[in-house]
Amino acid sequence: MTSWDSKALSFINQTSRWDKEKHIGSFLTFSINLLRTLLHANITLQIEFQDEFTARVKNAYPEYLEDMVLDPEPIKKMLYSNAFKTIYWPAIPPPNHNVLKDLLQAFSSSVIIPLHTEPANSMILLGWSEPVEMTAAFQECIETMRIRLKEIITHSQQHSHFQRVAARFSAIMHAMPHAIIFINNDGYSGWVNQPAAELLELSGAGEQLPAILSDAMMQLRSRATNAEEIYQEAMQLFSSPANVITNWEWKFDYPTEKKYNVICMPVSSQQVSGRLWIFEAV
Amino acid sequence: MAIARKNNIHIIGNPDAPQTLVFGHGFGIDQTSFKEVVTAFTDDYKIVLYDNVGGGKSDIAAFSFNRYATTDGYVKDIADIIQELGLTNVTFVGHSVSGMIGLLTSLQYPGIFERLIMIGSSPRYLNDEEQDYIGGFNQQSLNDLYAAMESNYHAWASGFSALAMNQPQRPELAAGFAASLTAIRADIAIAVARSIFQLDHRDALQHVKIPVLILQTADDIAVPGAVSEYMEARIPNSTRIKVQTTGHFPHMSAPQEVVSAIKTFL
Repeated sequence: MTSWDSKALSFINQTSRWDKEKHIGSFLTFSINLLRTLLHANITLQIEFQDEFTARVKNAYPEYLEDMVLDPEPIKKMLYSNAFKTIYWPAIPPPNHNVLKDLLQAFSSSVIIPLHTEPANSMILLGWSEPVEMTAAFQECIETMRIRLKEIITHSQQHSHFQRVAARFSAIMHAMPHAIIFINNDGYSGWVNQPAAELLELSGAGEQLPAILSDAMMQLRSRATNAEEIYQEAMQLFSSPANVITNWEWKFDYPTEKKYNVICMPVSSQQVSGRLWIFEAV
Repeated sequence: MAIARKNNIHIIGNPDAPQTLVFGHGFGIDQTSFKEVVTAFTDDYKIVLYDNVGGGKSDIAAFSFNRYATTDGYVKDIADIIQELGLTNVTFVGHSVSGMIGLLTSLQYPGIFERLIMIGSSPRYLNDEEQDYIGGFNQQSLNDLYAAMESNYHAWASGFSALAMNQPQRPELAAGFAASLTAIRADIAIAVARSIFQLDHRDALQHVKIPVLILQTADDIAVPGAVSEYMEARIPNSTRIKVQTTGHFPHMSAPQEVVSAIKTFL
């Protein structure tokens, strides 16, 4: 095994362990730092193409480059004119032919690794102060690392994308005045918004076990003044899982006199199957 | 030139002058805020005025919430302006956040400026109790500010303009600032305000390599006097001058004093 093979293997091994043992939030930073250490680079960073006006530097070493904004168009043009393949610069092109001149001042060699990832494309930039001989073995090592880097960036971007989506939807659902309860058919997960947590007297909003939700729903039903009527409707409703019920009245005398219009409907998509309850105070 | 339209660039003064002054405006106003100051330099300097994207008469289509989520987008814009216009021997005069943007530009693009003048600028608006830093705001007061902007932007602009201008004897100044603020699209103004008030560039101060003039005013709601002293203590080769006026806009409320301070420095 050549020393380049061994570096590529080390990168794969260490990044494989990290994503199992550590938090995903620091996974990409760790991986790019590892790249720098293994390849003895003097500058390493990710450029994320955020929109038509914004290419932003992330996970940068040296740190002062972090968050630097570049114009994406000239960089993308260079990447696509090279068919989105890794670009090897044993010698840095002159400034008038180098769209990355602001980052590569005083460097001798560089490697640019484009990464086609969703939701935003990225590239990794490596630079060396001293000239680097970019042999076939060196390039093979980079290409192996590139495959793993693409997985890592995809993983990290999707994680932060889903976190943002989850945060947004939670905020919307908690802000709704109706009590919203979702019970997943998988038997393992359910979700309630803040008004529903209060209605069901749960300790908190958010994820809840279906068993806890079912129990709390049963207790709520037993407190209703029209509990028997509710029970009869429920029997009909659950006799066919596709049934939808609207304008279903649930009445309470305690702690205050209150009436709810209840909607209960199945939710079915490729990823989710369950039943949604909406309690609207009237 | 696309950048001329993007940033509504105007070049005035002496085109043959060896030195250039570039003026960068602060949040909520535009290049016209320097009108009383620039006339003092038109004979001896080439003068470049521009509007930050999102404000003034800049190209609104060029605004990106990603690009301008941090000051780095504006740093790139200034570097593009200087490079596209082929400017040399440049002194950058930045009011408020543009002072800090100028400072960061001098670090990211070494050699781009010869000198820097910061009017009412701050490296961090948020107090930092752990480091005994007084920025002027705590997080709750900033959250309240964002909430007020979000709930009724026009009402907020009217109230904030009077507080920030702090020129009760000259209500036309606050009214002008309020009009300028309300001309900005509310969603853009709120996003930009967040990115400004949450910034923290204290670590950058020590790395500045060019001479810096810090202009400080009295009773500035956005930048307490302690901030100017903090900057002077940390920026090597910096000088601080107190301008005898109140509020956050000395170049509008006391332009002749600002002119004198700039001339002394140049």
